[in-house]
Amino acid sequence: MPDAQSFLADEFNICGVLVQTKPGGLDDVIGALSALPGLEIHERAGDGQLVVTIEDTATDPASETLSRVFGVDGVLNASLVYHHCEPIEDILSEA
Amino acid sequence: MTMNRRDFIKTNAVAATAAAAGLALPAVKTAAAAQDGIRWDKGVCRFCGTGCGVLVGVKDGRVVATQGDPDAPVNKGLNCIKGYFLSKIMYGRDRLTKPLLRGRNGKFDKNTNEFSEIGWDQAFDIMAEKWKAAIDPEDPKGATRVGMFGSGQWTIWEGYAASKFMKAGLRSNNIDPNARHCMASAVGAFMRAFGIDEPMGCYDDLEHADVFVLWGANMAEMHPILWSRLTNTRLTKKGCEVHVLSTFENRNFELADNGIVFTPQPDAPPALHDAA
Repeated sequence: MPDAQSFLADEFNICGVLVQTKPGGLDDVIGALSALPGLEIHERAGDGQLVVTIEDTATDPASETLSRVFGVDGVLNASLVYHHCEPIEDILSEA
Repeated sequence: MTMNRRDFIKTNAVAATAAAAGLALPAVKTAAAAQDGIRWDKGVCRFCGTGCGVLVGVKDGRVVATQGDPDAPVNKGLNCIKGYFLSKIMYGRDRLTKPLLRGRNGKFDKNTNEFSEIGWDQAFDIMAEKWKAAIDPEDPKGATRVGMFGSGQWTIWEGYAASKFMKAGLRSNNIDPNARHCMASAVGAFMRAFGIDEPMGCYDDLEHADVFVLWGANMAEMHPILWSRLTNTRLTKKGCEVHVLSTFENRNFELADNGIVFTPQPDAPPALHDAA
């Protein structure tokens, strides 16, 4: 687990995002998405959907990264399903 | 199984997102996600008029999580990028949380751009004093000197209260919602074209239609949730077509079977030309 210093702000911020890709180009999209900061691919559904999480990194807020997902070739849509944002001290104290 | 809270929250994010995609995760993950100190309530996103249902998670009196409501018929568990700010916007450090009075030395003065913090009681007293002075019951035109613009996001109850306040309380007719401005031109055009003043279609059409024509509507960026439903229909329904007409290549073109870029203000409607 990263220490508090590695977070952009004093918050733990994470988005669960469902990415709909264009049929046929899933591997390329996965490659491009994996290169984005704080983005992790967890599951893939048979119909070209990807379950990803996006977190703040030391330099890139999750909101910026989420915006960049739309610019990836082969991405038709990205829907935010889950968002959690909590002061980091609360997270660390309960860890 | 031990799991720190950060992993735990991440598991929640993955489980909720997978569920929205219709994916079932291994039981161990979902079981872990079920136990947390968050109380969940229902709300509606206020950032546009689509009306997406949102689940709001509160912990120790603070909104810490939001999630697209899987039971909401509009968004079916999805939110768009604007949903990111549903909780964050309430805790921005630059958010105005106390009334500010324009003026100097605690006295109202319209001719300065200086603002200073005052208490709520004082703020309401000053507002009431200024409104009363403007209305002036001795002047038959007094009630026309005040007015209220309502929000299209008002609830029925808020609109009702505002209406009573302005009309019954202040005896002024000067109240309108922004919907009046927003729809006045559209209603005029609908009446002329179709003889009825309602936009055609409803959300259920997004699953039932075979052909979509997006003309000057950038759904992918402006109405992402409805766009996700259209996308889903296009990708899963045999023979479904999407035609996009625009003066520039927008993100809808990624999905378009037939994308047409035309010069602004053409003489002939390009779609009709294309269909002929």
